[in-house]
Amino acid sequence: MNPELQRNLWLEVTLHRLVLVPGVIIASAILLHALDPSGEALSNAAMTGFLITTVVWGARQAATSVLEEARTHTWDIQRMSALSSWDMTWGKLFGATVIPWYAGICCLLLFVGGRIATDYHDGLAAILALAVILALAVAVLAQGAALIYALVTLHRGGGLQSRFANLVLIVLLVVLLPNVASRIDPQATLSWYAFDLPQLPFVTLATVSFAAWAVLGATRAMSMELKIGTWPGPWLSFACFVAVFAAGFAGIAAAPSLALARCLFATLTLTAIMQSYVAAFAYPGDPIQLRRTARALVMQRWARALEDLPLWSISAALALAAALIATVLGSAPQFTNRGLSNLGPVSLAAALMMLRDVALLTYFGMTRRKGRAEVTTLVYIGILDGLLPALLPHLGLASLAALFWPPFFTEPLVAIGILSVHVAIALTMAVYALRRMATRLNETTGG
Amino acid sequence: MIEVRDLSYEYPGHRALDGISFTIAAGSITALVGPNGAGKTTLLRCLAGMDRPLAGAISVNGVDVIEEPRRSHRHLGYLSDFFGLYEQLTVRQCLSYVGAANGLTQDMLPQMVVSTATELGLGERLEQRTGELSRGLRQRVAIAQAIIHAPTVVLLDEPASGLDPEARFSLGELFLALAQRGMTLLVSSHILAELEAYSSHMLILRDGKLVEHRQLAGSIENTTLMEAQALEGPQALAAALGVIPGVNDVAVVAQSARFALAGTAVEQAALLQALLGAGLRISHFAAVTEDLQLSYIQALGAQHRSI
Repeated sequence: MNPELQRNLWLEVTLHRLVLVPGVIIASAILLHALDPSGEALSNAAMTGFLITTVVWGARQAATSVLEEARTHTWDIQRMSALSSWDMTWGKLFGATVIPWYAGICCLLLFVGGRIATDYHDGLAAILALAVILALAVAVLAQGAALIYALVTLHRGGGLQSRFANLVLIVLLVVLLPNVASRIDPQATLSWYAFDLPQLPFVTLATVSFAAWAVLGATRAMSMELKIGTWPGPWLSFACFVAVFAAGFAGIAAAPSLALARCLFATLTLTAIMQSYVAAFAYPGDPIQLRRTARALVMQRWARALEDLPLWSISAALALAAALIATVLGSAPQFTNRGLSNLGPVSLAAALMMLRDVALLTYFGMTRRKGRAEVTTLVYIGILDGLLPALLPHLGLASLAALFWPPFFTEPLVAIGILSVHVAIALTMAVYALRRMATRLNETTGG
Repeated sequence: MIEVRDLSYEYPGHRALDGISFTIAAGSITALVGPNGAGKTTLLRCLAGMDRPLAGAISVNGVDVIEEPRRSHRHLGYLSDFFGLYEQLTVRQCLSYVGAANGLTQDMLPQMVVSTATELGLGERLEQRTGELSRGLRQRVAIAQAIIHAPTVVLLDEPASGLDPEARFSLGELFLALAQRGMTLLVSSHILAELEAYSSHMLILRDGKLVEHRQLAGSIENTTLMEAQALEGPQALAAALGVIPGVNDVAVVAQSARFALAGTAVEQAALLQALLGAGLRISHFAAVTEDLQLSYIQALGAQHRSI
C-alpha cells in the first residue's frame, strides 16, 4: 500500500467514526423520509450532503493534510522520504479525505435510492450514472484545487488565510450546488463549436477533465515543493486545453477556417494571460530563481534552465506568441468586421499589459520586503490603469489619459505601441533591480 | 561518500553558502561547527536535497542530490533542528511509515522497526503514541526515523538539544555504533564538548565560507596526539621532534610542544628515549585528546586575522 495513504488511514479511520458517520446519515434519512414520504426531499438533501461532505469538508481535509504538516514540523519527514510526488499527492488526496468520502458515498447511495424510489423510468440509470460521475468529479476537482491552494500557501510560507479559503469554499458551494442540481436535466442541450450537445454528458465530461487537471496540477505543485524538477509541458498543455474548451462557446463551427483559428489563438492568449497572473502572484518574483535560471542559461544547461524558469514567464511567452499569431490572422484583408478583426491586436495589447504587470511584480519582489511585493504591485496597477486614466480628464489632460489606459478596442495598434513603452520601462526596472541585488551581494561577500 | 563542489546558496540579499567544497569520507563522524548564521543548517538542508542551491554540485553515495533528490533520500537520513512527530501515531506506526516511504520492503519493515527501536532504547515503547513521550524519547524516535532505512549518510542538526547529560552520552555512544556499522555522520551542534566525544573530523563554517575541514588528531588510526615539555623550552623541543621519523604536525602551544605520533606505546617509549638521548631534559610527556573548543576558537581566530 502507498505509505502516505496508509499513514492517513491510520490517522483518520477509527471504529468510532466508521460507526458514527453512517449512523448520523441513516438517522437523518429516516427523519427526512418521515417529513416527506415522497423521497424527493431525501434525494435532494442527500446530494447536498454529498457536496457538503466531499466539497467543503473533503477540500478542507485535503488542504489541511499539507498545512498541518508545516504547522507541526512534520513536513521535513515527508520531504525527506523517497516517495514520488504522485504517490505523495494521491496518498494525501484520498487518504486525508477518507472519512468525508465515506460520508459522501453514503449520501450518494441515498441520493440514487431516493431518485429510483421517486422517479423511476426508462433511461434513469444512465442519467443517474452521469449524475454520480459528475458529483464525484466535482468533489475530486474541489479537493485537488484545495491541495494546490495548500501547496502554494506552503511555498509562500503562509499568508493565505484559512478563513479566506473557507469563504472561497462556501462561495463555490453556493455556485456549485444550484448548478449541479440544474445540470441533472436530461433534456437540456448546449452549443459548443456550433454543435448541439446534451448538457449532462457534456458537463460531466468537462468536469471529469478539469478534475483530472486538478489532480495533475496538485502533483506538479507537490513536485515543486519536493524540489523535483518539473517540465513546463503540462502547464502549457493546460492553457491549450482551456483555450480549446472555452473557444467552443464562441459560436464558431469546428470546420477549418481563419475565424476559428483567430478565435482559438485569441482565447489561448487570454488563457495564458490569466495563467501568467495566477502563476506570478502564486509564485511571486524570486530573485534567486531568476539568478539560478540565468546561471543555467549561461552554462548552456537548457533542461535545468527550463525547469528553473518562473512559471509566469512560460505562460507569458505563450501569451505573446499566441497574440502575435492572432494579430497576424486578424489583419487578414478578407475580414472587415471591425470587432472581429480587432481580436488579434487587442489580445496582443492585453498580453503586453500582463507583461508590464509581471515585470512590475518582479521589480517590487526585489525591492520590497517579502510579502509586500504583491500588494505594492496591485496598488500601482490600480494607479496606472484606474486612478490616473480617470483623474487626468478632470484636470484637462484627457489626451494624457490614453498614455495610461490606451484605446484597446478602437485603436489597438496605438494601444500596442503605448503598452510596449510600458513594458520596456517595467522590464528595465526589473533588470536594474536584479543587477543591483547581484552587485550588492558580490560587494558584501567579496565575490 | 559526500562530495560537495563550489556550493553556493543565497537568500534574497544574503549569501548563506559561498562556493564551498569538501569531501567527507565513509564511516566518519564530522562535527559541523560555526557561529550562529554561519550556514550550517543551510548546508545540511542542501545536502539533504531540501533546498536547491544557486550553484554547485552535491553527490551522496554517487547520487546527484540536486538532480535526483528523491533517489538520494534512500541513502540519506536527516534530523531537522525543529523536528516534528505524528503525535497521534504510535512509535511503531511512525517508524513503519518512514521506513516504507524510504523504500523498505514489506518483508523487511517489521524487523527493521523492531531492531531500530531496540537500538534507540524504544523497544518497550513501540505501541505508545509519540505525543505521550518525553522530550528525550521523542528525540530518540526522531533519530530512529532518520536511520530506520539504514542510510549510508545521516545528517543531524542539533541532535542533542534539549537532552539531559545521560541521554547525550547515550547519543554519542549510538553515533559511534552507527559509524562502526559504516554510516557516515555529519553532526551540527553548538555543544563542542559533546561533539569531541565522538567526532573524527571537524568542518568549520563562518559566514558561508569553509574555514577548516580536517581530521581530528586523536581519531587518526594508529596515531596519537602527544604533548611534551622540556627544560630547554618548547622551541628546542619542537626542533628536535621535527627531525624524528613518525612525528608529524609539530606545533608549539604555550610552554609545550604538541605533535602527532604514528604508532603505539612502543613507539612512544622509543621517542622518549630518543629525546633523552638527544640531551633534552623532558619534564612532561603524555598523550592528549584534541580540545575541539580550543581548535575551533583558534581556527576562527586565524581566519579573523587573515581577513
